Amino acid sequence: ASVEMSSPAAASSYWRVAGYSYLKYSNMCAEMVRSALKPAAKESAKIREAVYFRSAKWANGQAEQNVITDLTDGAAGKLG
Amino acid sequence: KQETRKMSLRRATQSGLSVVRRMEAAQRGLVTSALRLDEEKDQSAEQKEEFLKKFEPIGGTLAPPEFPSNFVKSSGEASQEGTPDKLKFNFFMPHDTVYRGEQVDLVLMPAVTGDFGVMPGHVPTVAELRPGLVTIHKEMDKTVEKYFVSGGFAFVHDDSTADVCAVEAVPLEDLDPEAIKAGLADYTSKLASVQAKGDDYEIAAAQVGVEVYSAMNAAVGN
Repeated sequence: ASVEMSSPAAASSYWRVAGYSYLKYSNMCAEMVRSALKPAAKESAKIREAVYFRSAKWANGQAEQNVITDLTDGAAGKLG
Repeated sequence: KQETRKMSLRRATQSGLSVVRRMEAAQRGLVTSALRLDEEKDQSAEQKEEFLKKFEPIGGTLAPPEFPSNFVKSSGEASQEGTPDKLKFNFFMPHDTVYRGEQVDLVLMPAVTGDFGVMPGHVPTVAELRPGLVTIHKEMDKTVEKYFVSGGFAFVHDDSTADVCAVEAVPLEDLDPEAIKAGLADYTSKLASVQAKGDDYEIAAAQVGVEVYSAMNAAVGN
């Protein structure tokens, strides 16, 4: 993705300049808000962060092995 | 093709336009496409009926389809009604709804360009929200609710309806001041250490952390 997506006159946000898309940025913000919740509300909120999908390659009309891809920890581009 | 004023007035009257438009059209002695569009709108009701009749026998269990014109108010209507005394407020998240069609007096929102308040009759606006507090005055200064939003968008429509779409919106009471203090200190130190390395990506991530935690810190009143 190109870094400078707006007209020359408009300034880009710092996250756009650094290479984050709006989706990544807003999901990162949401994750931070969730981690600052009180323990009671936090548990039900943290479930929303799970991102995973299951996929399988098909050959000869048969589904081969199910592969589960879990992006929960990788999606938001966390630090360390 | 020249039309006389009399002819255009007759035409305008026949197509069922509002009085103002009729007079305007007559005075200018013009034929405008707006007159034709309004004629088409009258026909569209019949066209919809026809389509729905054709759809019914093959629709099965499907609900009958909607038409774009069902959702669009003609531009004159909203301004003619006058300003309602309450704002119709919707507050959505992807996974949940905080408010839908709630009648409120005032909503304060933290936009990227600055804070602004929405009351009935507010000019139509689209605003990107920054992490901050959305304050809802159901009864001005009497029933006040605060939600911290992580970001999103706010839309104000011309009929005194406002929508806030946030990724995450939590009641202010649900934020943990201790966790916020710790997180803010954590990200501030991370920012300092990462800036030395010069990796834009990581610096931005730390900056986001500082931005969000500072906003939460201010909201909670630390």
